[in-house]
Amino acid sequence: MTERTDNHQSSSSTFRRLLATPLHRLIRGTISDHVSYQQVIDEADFDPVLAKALRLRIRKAGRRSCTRVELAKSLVPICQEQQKGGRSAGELAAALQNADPGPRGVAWKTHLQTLLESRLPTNAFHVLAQLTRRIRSRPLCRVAYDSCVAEWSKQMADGTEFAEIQAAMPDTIQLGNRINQLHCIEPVLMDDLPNEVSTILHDAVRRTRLWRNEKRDVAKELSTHFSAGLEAGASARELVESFGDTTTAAKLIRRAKVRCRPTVWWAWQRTWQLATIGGGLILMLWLVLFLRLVTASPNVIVDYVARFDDRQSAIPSDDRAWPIYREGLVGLTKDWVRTDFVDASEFGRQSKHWDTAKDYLERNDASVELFVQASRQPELGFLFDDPSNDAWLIKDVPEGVERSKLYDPKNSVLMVLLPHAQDLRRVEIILQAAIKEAAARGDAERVTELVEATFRLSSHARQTYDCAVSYLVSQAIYNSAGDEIVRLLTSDPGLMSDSQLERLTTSIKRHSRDFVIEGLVFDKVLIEDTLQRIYSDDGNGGGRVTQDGLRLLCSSDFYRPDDAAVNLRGSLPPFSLEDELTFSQNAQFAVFAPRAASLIADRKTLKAKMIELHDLYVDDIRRPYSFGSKSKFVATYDEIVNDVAVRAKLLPAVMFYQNYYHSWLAVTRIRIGRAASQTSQASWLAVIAIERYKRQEGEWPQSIEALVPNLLVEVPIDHFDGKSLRYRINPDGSPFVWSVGPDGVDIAAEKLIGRDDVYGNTDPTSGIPPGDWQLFPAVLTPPKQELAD
Amino acid sequence: MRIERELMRGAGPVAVLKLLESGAKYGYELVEQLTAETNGVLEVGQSTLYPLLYNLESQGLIKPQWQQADSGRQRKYYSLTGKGKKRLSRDSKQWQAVSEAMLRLGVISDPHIEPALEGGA
Repeated sequence: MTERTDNHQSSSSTFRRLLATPLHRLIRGTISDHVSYQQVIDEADFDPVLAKALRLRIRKAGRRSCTRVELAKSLVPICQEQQKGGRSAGELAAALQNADPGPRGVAWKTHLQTLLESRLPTNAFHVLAQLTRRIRSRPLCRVAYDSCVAEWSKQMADGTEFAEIQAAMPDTIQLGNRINQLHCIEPVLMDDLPNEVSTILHDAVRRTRLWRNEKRDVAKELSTHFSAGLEAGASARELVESFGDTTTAAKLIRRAKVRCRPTVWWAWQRTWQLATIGGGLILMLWLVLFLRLVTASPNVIVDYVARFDDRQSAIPSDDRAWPIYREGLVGLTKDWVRTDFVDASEFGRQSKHWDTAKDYLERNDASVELFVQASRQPELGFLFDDPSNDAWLIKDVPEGVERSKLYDPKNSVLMVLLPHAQDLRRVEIILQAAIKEAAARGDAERVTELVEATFRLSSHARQTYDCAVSYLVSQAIYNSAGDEIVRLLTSDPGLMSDSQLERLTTSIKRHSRDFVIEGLVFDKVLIEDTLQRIYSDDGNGGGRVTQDGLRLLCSSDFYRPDDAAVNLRGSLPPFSLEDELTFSQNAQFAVFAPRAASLIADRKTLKAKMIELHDLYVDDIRRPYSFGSKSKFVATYDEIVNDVAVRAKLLPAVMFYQNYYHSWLAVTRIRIGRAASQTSQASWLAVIAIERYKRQEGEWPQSIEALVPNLLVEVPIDHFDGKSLRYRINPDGSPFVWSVGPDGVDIAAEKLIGRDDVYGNTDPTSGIPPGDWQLFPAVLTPPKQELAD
Repeated sequence: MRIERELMRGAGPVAVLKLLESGAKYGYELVEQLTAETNGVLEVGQSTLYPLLYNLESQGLIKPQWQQADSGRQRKYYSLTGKGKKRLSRDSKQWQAVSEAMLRLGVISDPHIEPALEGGA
């Protein structure tokens, strides 16, 4: 039992010795004799108050017993010495008790030794604790601590109170910040260089504006340099003089030191520099383009709408048809349903809407009379800027739409909506229904009079404005009148007398026009008007794109940001000219417009291209119709549209001619329409001649050539193949007239296509309908589906 | 005698490389040696020497190393790299060629043959 206890005591003692041995001795394989810190204190035989204070402080300061022993061994002699020097145990105990908080960056051993050795008051160490907590560098904490203790001790030894010292120094926050600024030259402080040297060093290093670690490196090297100089016997002044100008030195050091920076930094630096230079160049370029854009303004010299009005004003009031048409239009009752009336006017009694139309005609008899009367006037005489139009314009304006939105004389020609052209189509439809109504009553004279009125109306429609739309409206009315003759001769061949048929033949010839030849003259005017509104004018036919011009393009119906053919590379928003732009639209416009404008060709180049396209277009559609012939206009337009750079450059031309490419003005569409109109006109004359032949000879002619020369001057031509119109007598003895149709292939009328198939082919890519076109007898029954408006 | 700045710019680096050929040296040592061994002709201040050293370092001709000196103080010693040795060899040849050319032109005189030349005259 005793043996076990001895063994236990022995192992416990070894363990304590192990704990008491410092780590560096353990590594070397030696174990210290175990002595506790309490034994060390007890052996000193201090006053109990001081012994207790020492124990408490040492226990707080170190966790390992070896640390505590080491602390005790260093503090005990100091305390003994201080007591010998006259300091009381109570005074030393109080100093130890007030050691908290400990300063940052200073070991407890050092701090406690300083605390006991120096005569500084306790609050001086509190100030030091606050100060060191403001300093970021731990080594600098130690420097500041040592410096302050030395300086303050010196001053207090000279009789200065600490309160006075504290009052003279800046507060700890300011002092801490100042020391932090010295962080990079910490080695200078560590080397304890003379003030004038460390000042110049500090100044030079600060001016280098290098990274902190670079500054430290430079400061450390220069401080060792100066130290070496001092060791070699040079004076501080000599060293400062040999150093030279600090600004130059800092500049040279920085330049050289930066060259030593890592490749990654240089790569980043170069990238950033390139990006900055690139950004700056782009900004400058944008600024130049922006100034170019905002300093250009369009110069609208010619008001083509006003010029048209001037021409119309020269027509004597008594010769003008429009005031009478207008009176008739204003007088019409409002129960007009266009689709129903179109159906009734075409198919008469066969239409389910006939009774409604007939009732409408009875109630609006006065207006019909005014239309007939107006048609007898030699000129249309329409004026755009005419206050007398207000009553008519306001009459049919949709709810919520202002008159100014419908028509504004200040608008460009592109924006003129031609509201009167639409209403002349309405007059035509009403006259057509009136013809049906008169024919139903057997009033041949009234029928003839109304057909003649419709032909005259077609001539008036041509005068609505010098543009393709007017000519197309006119042609549609003219075709409607001619088709009506064929319907009358189909449904009631004996209604009209020979003289009445003669009058109609005269009307057909008198009002015949080649709308292609006449209508396209205006397109060059349209080009001029577009250019003067988009570009500035340098007086020599040149100019650059303006802000207003770009806005005009963006507000155009043809501007579609989602359509690659006409967008400004997706950069500008579409908007209406009448609407106020939102902030984001304005910003988007301001940012992207300069670049977009710079992409667009100058006025002279664009005009040349537009004229070239115009001439190609005119050449294409004036050539005799030939199925499948290639259009040079389409090929050129395709070339422009398919090349992104060219498309952007010629954007106004692309937008302008888009209509000529895609819509009812497309080359194929116009050429088919022209051939169809010419063929229709030939067929009307032929059908009247066939009817008159029957009356004269008592039988149908055996061939179309039999009508020449007594009833026709020349053989009627099918303009789809350039040969004579196809004619035959059916097995039932009835005559049949047809055209080979747009495909140019005669299939002996085995498959027939209608009028809408011929005229309605607006998209050249959808293909030409195969089949022959029936011209006589007319189709008198409506199709199963309702006619679309 | 003070050397023109442009001339010093060419001579300084090769002089420093030459001094480092015999072994690693720290800044002050280089300043002292340059002054002493060139009779003050190639004397440089710290504001010139250290940028020069950093430039050579950035070119990979010398490499620095902090070492403890005999005095116990930390010092930054510079030593020649392989690339530095090659450069020194090349530059030395070039300076040699320049010196010979200047000698032939009479811009400089050879101290060894000067008496002979004087005697011959």
